[in-house]
Amino acid sequence: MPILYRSGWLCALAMLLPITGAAESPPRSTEALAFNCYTCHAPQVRRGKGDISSLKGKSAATLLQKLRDFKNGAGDATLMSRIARGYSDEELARIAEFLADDLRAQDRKGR
Amino acid sequence: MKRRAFLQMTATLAGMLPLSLRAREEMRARARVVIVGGGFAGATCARYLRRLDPDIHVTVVDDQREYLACPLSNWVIGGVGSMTRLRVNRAGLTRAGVEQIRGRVEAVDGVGRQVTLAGGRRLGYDRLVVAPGVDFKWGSPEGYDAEAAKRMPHAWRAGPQTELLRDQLRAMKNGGVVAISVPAAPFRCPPGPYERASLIAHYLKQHKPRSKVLILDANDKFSKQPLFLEAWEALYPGLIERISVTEGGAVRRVDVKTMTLHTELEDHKVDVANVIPAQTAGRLALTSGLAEDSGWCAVDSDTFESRRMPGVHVIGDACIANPMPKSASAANSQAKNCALAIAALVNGAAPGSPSLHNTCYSLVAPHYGISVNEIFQVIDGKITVVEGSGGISPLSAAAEFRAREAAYDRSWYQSIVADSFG
Ligand SMILES: Cc1cc2nc3c(=O)[nH]c(=O)nc-3n(C[C@H](O)[C@H](O)[C@H](O)COP(=O)(O)OP(=O)(O)OC[C@H]3O[C@@H](n4cnc5c(N)ncnc54)[C@H](O)[C@@H]3O)c2cc1C
Repeated sequence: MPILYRSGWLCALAMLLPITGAAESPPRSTEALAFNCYTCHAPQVRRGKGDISSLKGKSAATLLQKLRDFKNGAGDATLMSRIARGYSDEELARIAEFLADDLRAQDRKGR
Repeated sequence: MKRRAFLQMTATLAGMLPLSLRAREEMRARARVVIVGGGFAGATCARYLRRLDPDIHVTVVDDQREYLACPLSNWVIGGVGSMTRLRVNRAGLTRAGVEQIRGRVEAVDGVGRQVTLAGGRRLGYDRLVVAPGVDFKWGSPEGYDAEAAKRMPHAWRAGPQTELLRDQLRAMKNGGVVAISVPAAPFRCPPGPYERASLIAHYLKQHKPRSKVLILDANDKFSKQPLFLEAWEALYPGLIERISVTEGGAVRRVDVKTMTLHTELEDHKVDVANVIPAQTAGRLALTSGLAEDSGWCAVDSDTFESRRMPGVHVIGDACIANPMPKSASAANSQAKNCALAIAALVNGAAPGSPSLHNTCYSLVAPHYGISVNEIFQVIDGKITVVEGSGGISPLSAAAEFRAREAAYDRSWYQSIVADSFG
């Protein structure tokens, strides 16, 4: 089975942040966490104004900033703040990095 | 035999033998996963299995030529959308390398690890995924069966039933009563009956304003209740009446000839009767011994493997995954976690810890959407809502907020279909 998650500086950074949200259970795998994003943000769907936003072409840092803003109640989310509060900061960092990598890889494959 | 010819032959054999052995070994190494049911749960599981490990041979067996998705079917009933949007193309599964077989699985042999299709064809598996959705408990309420559904549609499986209910509404006189009978939980799509009541009210308000929607409910509380009540008050005052179970609202018996719904306290003679019957896991789950007495399948929350039959996983509406609702969104998330577990197991690895998610939008009017969601983790074998996550849309939000969620509902549908079916 291919291992899709590579740890990086974002996770190192996340370690320094206060841990909130999900805890006290075995770590949730990165793929398990991130695959859920594709339910509403499927990369193969063309998206227009007013639609759920596309995640394609966004860097891990941009995605993480967005997720952290949602979690902290900044921005104008309808639903994403309720979602982001379900993850620790460390998990959000893993999600952001996975998505950025995976979407880039999918783009290269021309999907 | 001449010596040269013999040497040649042994050389060829020697060359062939290890090769064919290797080939056979590779064949054996290629794990075989059979998935029964190509709905949101089965299709998602198939696609993600292929993505996670292209060496796994994945077969989806479904008895329907085409899949009609239930989300948005309430829109059709309320005159807000067309049937074409419910038609889902499964060609994306084939593109992902999934083998598709049209047929009905009739038996599961958990010991011999094979399933039998109607007509006798057998398929062997290393891992089986059972995702048959729901079946109806005919006779609950009393007098309600497949025949009665032709007069009193359930419209709880998208297709001709959806059109029948829509057409009955169109044919109804102004001033008529439309009843929706809601079974006791658990059932497929907890907010579904109330979204339906809203969109029927939307239709009546425009075309038959003297009419009424009557919800006869076998439950006390319901999903997104404060949001629905707020919206009904604002958009459809006096149009929707609900009688809860404590108020005697549960329908016990139906009489098709007189179009009457009998509750403990009253007899309601109505013009259109939408009877949503009690449900169980898809029939195969019952006949193969996968289901509990409750009619639903108990599974290990980490892997969705059946508690009754090793090597068999049950996902989607058919499984017991409380506190997750029976929704397309939950089915999609369970399927991904199940695919992760199976990809690990067939490769001899330990499955990781799941992360489960559900988001259910409901449309109350064309530009008025509301939502509920939760994030789940598994603690000590139990699916548990992550503290502080999820909840419902805010009450008394601006019209602009409701309009955004209505647009997101449409966008959600497009996305989940693409994510699940390719
Ligand atoms: C009115 C309504 C509105 C809804 N709205 C929403 C919504 O807005 N959001 C949401 O998330 N969910 C919604 N849902 C719920 C959603 O439709 C279901 O939760 C979802 O379809 C469950 O997926 P599934 O794959 O478990 O089952 P299904 O979608 O029912 O798929 C099961 C498949 O298996 C096949 N099958 C069954 N038995 C066999 C067998 N023995 N052999 C071969 N094939 C078999 C069936 O033909 C079917 O194709 C709604 C439901 C209704 C009724």
